[in-house]
Amino acid sequence: MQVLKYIFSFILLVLIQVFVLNNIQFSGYVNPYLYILFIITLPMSVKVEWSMLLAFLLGLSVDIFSNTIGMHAFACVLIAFLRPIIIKFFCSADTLKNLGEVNVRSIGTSSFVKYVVAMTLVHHIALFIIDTLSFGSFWFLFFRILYSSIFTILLILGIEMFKKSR
Amino acid sequence: MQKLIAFIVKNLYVFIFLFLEILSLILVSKYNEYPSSVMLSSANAISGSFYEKVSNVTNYFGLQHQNDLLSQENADLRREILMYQSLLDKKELSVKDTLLDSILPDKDYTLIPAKVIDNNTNKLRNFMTLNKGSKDGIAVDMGVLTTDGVAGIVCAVSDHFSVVISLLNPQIKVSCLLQKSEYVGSLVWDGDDITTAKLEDISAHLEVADGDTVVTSGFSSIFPRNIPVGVIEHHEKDKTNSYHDIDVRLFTNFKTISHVKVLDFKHRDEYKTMQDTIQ
Repeated sequence: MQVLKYIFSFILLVLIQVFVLNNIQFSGYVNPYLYILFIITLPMSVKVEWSMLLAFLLGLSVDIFSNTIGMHAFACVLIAFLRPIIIKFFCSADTLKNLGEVNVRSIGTSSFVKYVVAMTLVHHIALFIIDTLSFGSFWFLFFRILYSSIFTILLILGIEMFKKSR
Repeated sequence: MQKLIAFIVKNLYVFIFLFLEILSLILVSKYNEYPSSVMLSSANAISGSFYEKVSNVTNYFGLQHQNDLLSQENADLRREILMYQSLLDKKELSVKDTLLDSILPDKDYTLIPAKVIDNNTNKLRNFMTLNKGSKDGIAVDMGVLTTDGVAGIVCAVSDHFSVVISLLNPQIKVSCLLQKSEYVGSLVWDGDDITTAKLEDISAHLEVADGDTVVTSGFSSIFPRNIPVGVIEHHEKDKTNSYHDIDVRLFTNFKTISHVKVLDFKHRDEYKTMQDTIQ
């Protein structure tokens, strides 16, 4: 039952990303990447080997629809790999023991916000550095990362807060 | 040996991590310079048909605007017919003109209408996906037009879909000239504003004025001469003082693009073989 739920959310997030969010233009090159919510909320009991493989598949699915083969896959595998390390910064060892799905309820609001911000920034920095590699100035890169991160973080926190309040 | 195996098993996740990241980077370097692989681009059968279904729905929202555009185009065409009719009536077609027409390759283009089923403008490298492919006669390196002007160049085709590099993509440069003075430069997008692009390679000593119309030069088989591209919005000398830094306001509105025409040059293969023999 749990597995079905995750398969469903994987597909739903890819579809929302590709058909809705990639087509919304907030301002020029700003684009939120909500789909990383899948990696962010994946239970910590999932071994990091498996979460990296899932992240690779997730990134590649988004890549195929947006003609950016490899870019999202790279950024997703990176955050899946760093996830156990990042979450240690914000959660006590007690909370981390037997931690299931990572959400507002399981690790607390302030820890969750910090964790989402860190994961989103790592993902966006990796993604935009690869995407902007050959052209664009430092400030161009900086503002793309800043604005897109803000939108992604707000979307993820909005959805998670809504889920909690239900 | 046993220690080595134990070491690998213990750190298996690091090896998987490195393997996946290197694989991603290989994919990035292989496919992103020029996404010619149909399998891994949005022209493949799965994502292609997905995009077509979604665009079938979203198309309805733009119908009113499309109708306006079509009727406008109809009116323009009718006006053109009337103009030619009157020219014929007066028999003003001089011998010199018809000769010129038969020499220019422009008459050897046919237009294939297609629908844009996916389009993006918010990235650095923008692409469009069309609902026609090689079965409809589309091939790589064909030019793509809207009723307003140049839109892009086809870069990958499958049986029923094709991917177009949008003009809003710094990977392509289009050879253009100023309609009035016939100075030739190349047009490239700088990744910033989706309504303007830069015209490069115009020497600073040449005279350029705001409001000059920019059209294609016809120096390749992709676009014939005189396809409208945009007007000069602003110009100034660049940092080195040897070239103009020119902003061109594009005629094509890339945000609302939905129907395009693909240019099929009749003697494209012949032209290409000719070009290859001299290289």
